[in-house]
Amino acid sequence: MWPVMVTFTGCIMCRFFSPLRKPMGLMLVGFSISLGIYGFGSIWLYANAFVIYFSVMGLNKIPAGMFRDMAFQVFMASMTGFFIASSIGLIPFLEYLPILGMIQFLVYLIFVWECSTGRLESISLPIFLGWVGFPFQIMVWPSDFKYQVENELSVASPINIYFFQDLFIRIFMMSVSQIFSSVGTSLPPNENIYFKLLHLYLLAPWGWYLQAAALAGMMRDAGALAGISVPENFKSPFLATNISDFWSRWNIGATRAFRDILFFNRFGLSFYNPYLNTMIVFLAMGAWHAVNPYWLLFGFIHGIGFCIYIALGARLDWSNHWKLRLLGWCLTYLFVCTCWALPPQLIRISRNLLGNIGGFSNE
Amino acid sequence: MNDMASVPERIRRVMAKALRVNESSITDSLRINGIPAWNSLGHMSLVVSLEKEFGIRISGAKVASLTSFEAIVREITSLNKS
Repeated sequence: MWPVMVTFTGCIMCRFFSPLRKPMGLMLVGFSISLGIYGFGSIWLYANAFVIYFSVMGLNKIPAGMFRDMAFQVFMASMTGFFIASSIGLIPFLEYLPILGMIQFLVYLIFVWECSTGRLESISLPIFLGWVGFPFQIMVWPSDFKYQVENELSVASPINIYFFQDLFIRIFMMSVSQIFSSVGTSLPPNENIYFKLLHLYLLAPWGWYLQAAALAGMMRDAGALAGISVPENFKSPFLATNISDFWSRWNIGATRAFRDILFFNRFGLSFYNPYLNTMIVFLAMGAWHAVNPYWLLFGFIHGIGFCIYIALGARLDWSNHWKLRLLGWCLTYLFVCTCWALPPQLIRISRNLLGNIGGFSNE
Repeated sequence: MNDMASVPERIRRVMAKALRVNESSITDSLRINGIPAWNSLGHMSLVVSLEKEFGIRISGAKVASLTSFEAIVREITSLNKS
């Protein structure tokens, strides 16, 4: 809860001291928040931000054309390489180089992408550093943040009863997620299949969802205090009636980034290949969580499920028939939960198989 | 004959065909995800159809920013001029 409290404090300060809603003030608040959350790590965060900012501004000076596009692509590929290398511990000191973690990686990637595509032609250093410091950047893109700072932040919008109502709901969601988590861990060990199913298909998914949605909601509330409009990041994902619908409701900020950067991409081909793009998006999304077998398999299974949906399900009109909607909802819920539950089993099976092939077994 | 129609009307027709909905569903204020068919998958086939219809190439960045009927009309009009 510490990051939330620090963020709220910073945003309350912005509400009461209007100079803090100007670029320099936001930079100061952003840096203070990041110092409160990451401690000395924020020095690395800001060192990275400086490197990324000046590199991108330098690349932005190249006249539009193929060379500029290539330079940006190489830069983005290098960032991705650093991220993967540091996340698998390839070279120990890499953890101090440009990418700090999954959130920062995506945040910087969004910034570079926005500049490379011309959506964000320029942004001043104070606004950029302010954006980097607030922990809800992934939901508010730099172009939107820049727009808000320049046009909307002069007067903070009034706080009404709905603000407190929403805040109460977030706290309630967070508490329920804690209860689910403690019930899940106190259940008897794996022997009982019903307990296991209860954990994998109800307590664990709902616990993750409630916690993530409550945190994202609190970031929205913090933004509202400061006058920064933060979009919704979770929209009842477990009500989704197909897998595409699920991903349009789950972690919307991150999903939007992967969609815009990777899904709407030809990858040098003359046509769009939705299957290729789907697999690239989901493998990247898995690797973004962590480059390990669990998350790569998680992305792979989701990708396969999405491809099947494109090939079969997308042709059906799911919205007009309640039986199809109900079937779609059941299949989607089971599939999504299975994607979290299945990778450990697959990893165990493949380890056993490899062990047997190699002439020795884990047991 | 197709070329005689105004750009917004041609776009409306292409969108309806690509998204498999009635032309009446494509209102001037329609935005992405405003109807179930206009999701990310629908968006991709829509872009391909627009490129074919108008003989243009829409860059990846522009694809992501075509989030409304109005934005599409604006973009196609400017690409047609250039």
